[in-house]
Amino acid sequence: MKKNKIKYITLAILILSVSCTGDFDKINTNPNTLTTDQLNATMAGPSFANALYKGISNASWAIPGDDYGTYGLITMLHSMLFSHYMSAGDPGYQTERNGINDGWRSRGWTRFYTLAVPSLRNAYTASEGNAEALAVLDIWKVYMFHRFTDSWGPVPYSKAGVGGASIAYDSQESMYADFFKLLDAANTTLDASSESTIAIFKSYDKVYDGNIEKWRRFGNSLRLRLALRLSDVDASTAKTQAEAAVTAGVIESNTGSAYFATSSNEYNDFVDVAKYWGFYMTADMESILKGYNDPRLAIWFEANSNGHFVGQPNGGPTVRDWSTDTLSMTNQTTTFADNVKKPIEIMMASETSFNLAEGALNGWSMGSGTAQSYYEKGISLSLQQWGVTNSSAINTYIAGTSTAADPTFASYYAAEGINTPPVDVPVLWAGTVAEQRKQIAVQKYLGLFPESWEAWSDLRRTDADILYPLLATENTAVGKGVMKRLTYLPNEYSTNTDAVNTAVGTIPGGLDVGNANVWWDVN
Amino acid sequence: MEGTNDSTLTCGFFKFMKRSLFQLLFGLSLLAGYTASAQETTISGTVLEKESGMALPGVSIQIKGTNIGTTTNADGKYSVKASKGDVLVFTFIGYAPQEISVADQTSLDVSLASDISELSEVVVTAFGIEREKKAITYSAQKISTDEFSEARSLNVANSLSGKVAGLSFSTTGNGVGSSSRITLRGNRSLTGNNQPLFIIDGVPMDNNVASTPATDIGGTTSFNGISSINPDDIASISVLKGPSAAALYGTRASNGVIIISTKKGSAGQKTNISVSSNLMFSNAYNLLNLQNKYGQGNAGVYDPTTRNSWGPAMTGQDVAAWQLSFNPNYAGPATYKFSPQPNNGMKFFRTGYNWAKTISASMGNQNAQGYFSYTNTTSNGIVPGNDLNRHNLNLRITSDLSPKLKLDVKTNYIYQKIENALNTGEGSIGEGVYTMPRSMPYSQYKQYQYIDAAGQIQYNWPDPNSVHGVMENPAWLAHRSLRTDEQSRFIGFASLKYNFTDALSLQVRSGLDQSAISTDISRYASTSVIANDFGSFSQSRGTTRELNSDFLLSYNKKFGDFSVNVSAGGNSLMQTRSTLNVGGPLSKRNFFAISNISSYSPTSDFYDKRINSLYGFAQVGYKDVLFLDVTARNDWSSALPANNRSYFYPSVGLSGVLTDMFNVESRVLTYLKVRGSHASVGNDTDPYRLSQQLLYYGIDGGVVQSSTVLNNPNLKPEISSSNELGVESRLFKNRIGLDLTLYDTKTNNQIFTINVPESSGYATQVVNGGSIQNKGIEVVLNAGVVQSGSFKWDVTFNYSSYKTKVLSIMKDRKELSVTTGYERLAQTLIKQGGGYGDLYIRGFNRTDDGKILVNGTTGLPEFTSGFDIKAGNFNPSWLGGMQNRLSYKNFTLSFLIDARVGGKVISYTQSKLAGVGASTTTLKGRTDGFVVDGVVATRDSEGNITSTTKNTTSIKAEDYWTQVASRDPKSAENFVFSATNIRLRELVLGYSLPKKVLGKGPFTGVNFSIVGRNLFFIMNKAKYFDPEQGVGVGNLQGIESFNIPTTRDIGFNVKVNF
Repeated sequence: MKKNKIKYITLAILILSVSCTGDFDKINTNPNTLTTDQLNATMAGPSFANALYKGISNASWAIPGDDYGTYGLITMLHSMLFSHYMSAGDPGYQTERNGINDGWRSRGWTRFYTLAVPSLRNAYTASEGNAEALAVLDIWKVYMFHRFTDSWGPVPYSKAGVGGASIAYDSQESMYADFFKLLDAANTTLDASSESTIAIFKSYDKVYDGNIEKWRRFGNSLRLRLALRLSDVDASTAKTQAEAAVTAGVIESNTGSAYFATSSNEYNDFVDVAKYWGFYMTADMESILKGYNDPRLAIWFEANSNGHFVGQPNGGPTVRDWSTDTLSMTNQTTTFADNVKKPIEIMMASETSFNLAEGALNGWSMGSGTAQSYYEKGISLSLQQWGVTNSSAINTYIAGTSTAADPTFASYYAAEGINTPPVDVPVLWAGTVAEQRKQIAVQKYLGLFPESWEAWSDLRRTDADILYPLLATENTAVGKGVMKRLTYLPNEYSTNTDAVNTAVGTIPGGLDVGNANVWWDVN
Repeated sequence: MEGTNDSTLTCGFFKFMKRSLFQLLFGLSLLAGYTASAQETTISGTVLEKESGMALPGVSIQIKGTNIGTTTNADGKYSVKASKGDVLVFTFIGYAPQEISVADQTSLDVSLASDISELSEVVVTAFGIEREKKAITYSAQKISTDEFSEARSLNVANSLSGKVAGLSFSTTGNGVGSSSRITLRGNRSLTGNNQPLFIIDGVPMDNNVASTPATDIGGTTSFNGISSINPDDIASISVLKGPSAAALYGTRASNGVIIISTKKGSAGQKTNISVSSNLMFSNAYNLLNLQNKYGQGNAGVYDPTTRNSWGPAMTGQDVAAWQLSFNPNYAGPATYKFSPQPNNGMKFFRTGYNWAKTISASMGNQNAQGYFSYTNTTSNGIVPGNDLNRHNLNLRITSDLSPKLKLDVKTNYIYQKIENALNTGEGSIGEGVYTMPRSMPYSQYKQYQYIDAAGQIQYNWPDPNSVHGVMENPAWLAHRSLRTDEQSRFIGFASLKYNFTDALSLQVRSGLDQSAISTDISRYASTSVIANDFGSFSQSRGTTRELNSDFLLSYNKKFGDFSVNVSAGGNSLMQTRSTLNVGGPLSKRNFFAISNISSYSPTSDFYDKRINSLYGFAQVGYKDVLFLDVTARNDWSSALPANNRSYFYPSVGLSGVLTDMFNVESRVLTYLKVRGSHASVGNDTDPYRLSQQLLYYGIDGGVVQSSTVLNNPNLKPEISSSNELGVESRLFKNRIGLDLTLYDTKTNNQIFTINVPESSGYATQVVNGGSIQNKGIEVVLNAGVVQSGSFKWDVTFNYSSYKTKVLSIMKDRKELSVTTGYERLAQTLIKQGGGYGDLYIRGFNRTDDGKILVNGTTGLPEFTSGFDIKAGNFNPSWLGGMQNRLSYKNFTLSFLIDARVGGKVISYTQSKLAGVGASTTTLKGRTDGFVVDGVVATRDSEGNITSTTKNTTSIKAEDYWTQVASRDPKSAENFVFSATNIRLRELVLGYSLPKKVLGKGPFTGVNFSIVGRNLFFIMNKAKYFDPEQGVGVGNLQGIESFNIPTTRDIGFNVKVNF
């Protein structure tokens, strides 16, 4: 009896020596996630939706993996300050004074490459075989990456987002060449399409609802924007590409403007960050909008309790002692009141019109209009976009002869030896080409608001003298003028060392600094 | 993937062990029963020394399991009241104790033999096996648990500090019941878990900390498993430090094992009921350096809307009432006196308490023994609203079901509710209190809300919705940003042991640790940071379960001079966790219900892992003086890929009692043992790290996102191997005991995540690599300093020191950042050749000879651009503890002095306090400025310094500190402190009522004590805070970030036995 028991137990133990791992693979499968082999056509829309939102604002809020701080750090604390669209309330934000903060800049880079780029990659995979969808993805890819390269110079592009230990940087010149190629091919594909919408994108496409014609014009308008960017560095390509874009057909009315339709999950982060991080209207905005008696002043900003619009000089010192009047913030009562309802500006019809005006000034073949007619149409489009629809009000504005006014805190500039506002041209179309160029630059600057990335790029390209200098700088190389580029990230230096060093070698001056020009910025 | 017949059968066995055994064994527990008896007689007698026949004075006689007892007088005579069935325990230092059961005798003479080899010292080792200490081939330390329930801490782990050589301790400022971090012999894992495994009554416990801050920005730390264990139930603790001790527990034991045995009844014991009450009061121990000269304002001008103290000097002048500018309902005077408020922060804190009430009963006869206890603990933290309520119910039954079959069953139920667990760091109550403007009276800011015209509750605070002013009103946070954590936990096991013969036995056991955890967070509308107008609410519900089923077949036999002990066993571990989180902004303002959330984003987390193991161990003893230990274990982990899922690791150890081997007869050297061991322990990883994951969110019709972690399908198990050498000796008839250990541990092939170029599309990648070496020394010394008559004084010292070195990280990677990139003032970087725990900060640019470079225009120093200055290492140079126990007649006094020497800690609190002008640091140069001691450089066009001149430019304090310090300090050099501190950790003064006072009443023992914890620092180099408090309990240590003040606890303890 006893011996039998021992036998059985010994047997059981022997059996146990065979491991029991049959269901281990199943146990080690996360029930919460899908795998990459499930990226079929049904996943194209959801992937594209994410590439759209993350690709525009570099941020999201409610979607796990991000928070609205990303937009605050990369956009509000960089291009928004560089372009003097806004000024930071907290004097500790050193980027207001052209200072460099690794953490803030890094967040934008990280989210772009680890959230936006992989989503685009997934969308490509899931859209395989659908020519129209792939063409739209190509357009969106150009949109996403051009802002990146325009901010940094060489960045990883052709090898980005597909894994690997060392990711090569692409030169900006080669990226632009590829951009034009992609946009041209996309136009051809979409133009030839017999469909009017892309079914797999339709409800997921929060920009154009899968509308093929709208995407096609968006792509061509983007091509025009990029062409103008090359005005100084490669005038002949600029001309060819601009004319090709116009021939193919660009955005002509506000209904063709590209907005991202926000939701309770995908917010307009500008609304929140401007409000909750305490950003103020700038002295530059105050000066121009007040001087022009611009109706957009009260649409964008809010008067203080004294009924005044007061802008803060950008680049103020870390201890600020102006307290004579309360600074104005964004209009949180109407225009920028609701982060769910306010769509995000991606590319506006007015910008295209101003681009056509500049092209016409250059002597390019820009269609039926003249520089002046495109300039005036751009102004109307922008005013209408912000709700100013009364044609006599628009005409009065276009006929305006006043120039920019002294801001409330003009004395701080006087102390720097600056006694007149930089914007010395009126709205009314001027007589000289130099003045006209400046007028286009000023109106485009206003028309782009609050899309600060394009505004910052355009300020660097045109070198338009329309902004006050900073009151103080934390970057002796850049000084008090406009920042020229963003510098690379510590994580790239520690993990992608060779690639980033090679890229730095191609930057003018060979140093990774904020005052080096990007490729197209030759002045 | 079905296996063969054999493996199916095997799986069946494992499944049986998992599912059925547990219920079966609990069913059997109902069979157990007990009897009890009680009749008291007086027993008297004489205690003699066995060898000489001389009377022994001062021998302690105690009734086992109680505090009742006496000592022999100068003639060696004693008299004690005891009942039939009681066990009298005779103990005296240097002699082997004796236990004698009371039968019908009234007189009992006893001879005590001097204890040469300390035969009696027994340590609980792997699988609950009790082994003689001399036979153990590795370092094992038994901890006295006498003070655990008296000098009580809400978290048992906190009571280990200072008592274990090699144990490093830190806590966090989460308020009552907070988690703490303990490590044994330093950190072994680059980025994984470094805390030891807890084993309770042979069954592993889930001690996972679900979340803890990874940066100095701070956050919430969840409650770990050990924090809810009842100290009253603990019978003994032994600590097995290195991997060799732990080779048999596998995977999770590579950081050492802490084995807790809980109380149980013993055979022949009469019914003993004990009631005790322990009440401790805690008060904030204020160490802060707040200035009392300048009040609220900026640039020397009063500003009622700022949180800064850069205003004018406070001279009692009238200034506009603070609330006037924003509170429409403010009805107080329009001005108030601008005068120093030295205690405006500390007044916010209250006296906290911790009140534990316990009733326990133990009983037993030859066949069945039982122990039952119930403890209710209520505790209020020093922050208003931070409360804890805990119920611990414990039942343990051991029973002989038949002469050969033994049953052991435990059920332990814990319910715990914690209100308003605190955050550390930014936006915390600590930050709100400490940075309060120096002129702000408590009476004003305690009015944290007002009702607006629409009848809604509003935050009574300037600019409440501004993130750049994260500093909150602490009173609002305490009442309007609420959190409730509940835990309902069951820990239990059942085991059956069958003795086939005297030599051969089989034990099967199943143990479960299961918790239901819930967290509710309610934030009222207008709370800062959360940017919405209606408030927010979130609920998280989770279950964690750890089920261990094992069997052990043991064979013990003596063959002549050889004793053989061979065992083989297997274990099946099932570990699951799941959490569901739902939360979002509200629709109806301040109505906190899930149905009222306006936009949902539910998430769920899973964790599911199995490890099957087979193991065997053997010990061969020769003549009871030489012992050889061999162990082997093989694990199969579900978290590793199929081809690497099985891993094997062995250990071997040898110990010899030299004094016995060579028959040493010495008045000095009583006992000498040497031991050595080598062991390796394997380790797996978390589940779901093998294949790439794609997240699908059902919002807005569907959104797909790739995981930013690049997983690795080729992971291999980690292996940690260690060598250990030790000497144990006893001198002067055991008056002095010394235990010395040297060890060297290497952990290779670690599984961790590294940062990769983000342009690859991934932020991190899971890799195998890394090699960390830990070397150290541990010494435990105990001495019977005085033993004369009824006065006794015993001291135990412990000392430990270790060095951790990063030998390699991986090919082409010399550096690993364990930071997130959003650090405010310090980062932990792991560099090849560096130490684990090196902290890096931004700092001042200096000349080659160390002078600070200053900008000649502004007077401000030049700063380094990144975190490239090494501030030091957070690990201590050495740790020490001194535990004293004194007794005189019915009085006992014990106290513990705990020392931590060396290591650095960086204070975000100090940085922020300097930035807002609240600390004394900012007094210098307020009006006239000061000149930074440094040089101004002249540079050539390449940027090289050509010459320097002494700086003469003065800078105002506000211009200096708002740059140097503050939220993102440009230099943290001023905020690096030495963590060296020595403190009186515990003090217990006890008194037992003499037996004659108790007389014939119902009480068999009454014991009072006065206790204290953390009474004072003997030395604290961090000056302004307690360096033991960290931002969290993860691997990020050495950072202090707005922890609430450490507390000084004083209390009373009453225990009555029936």
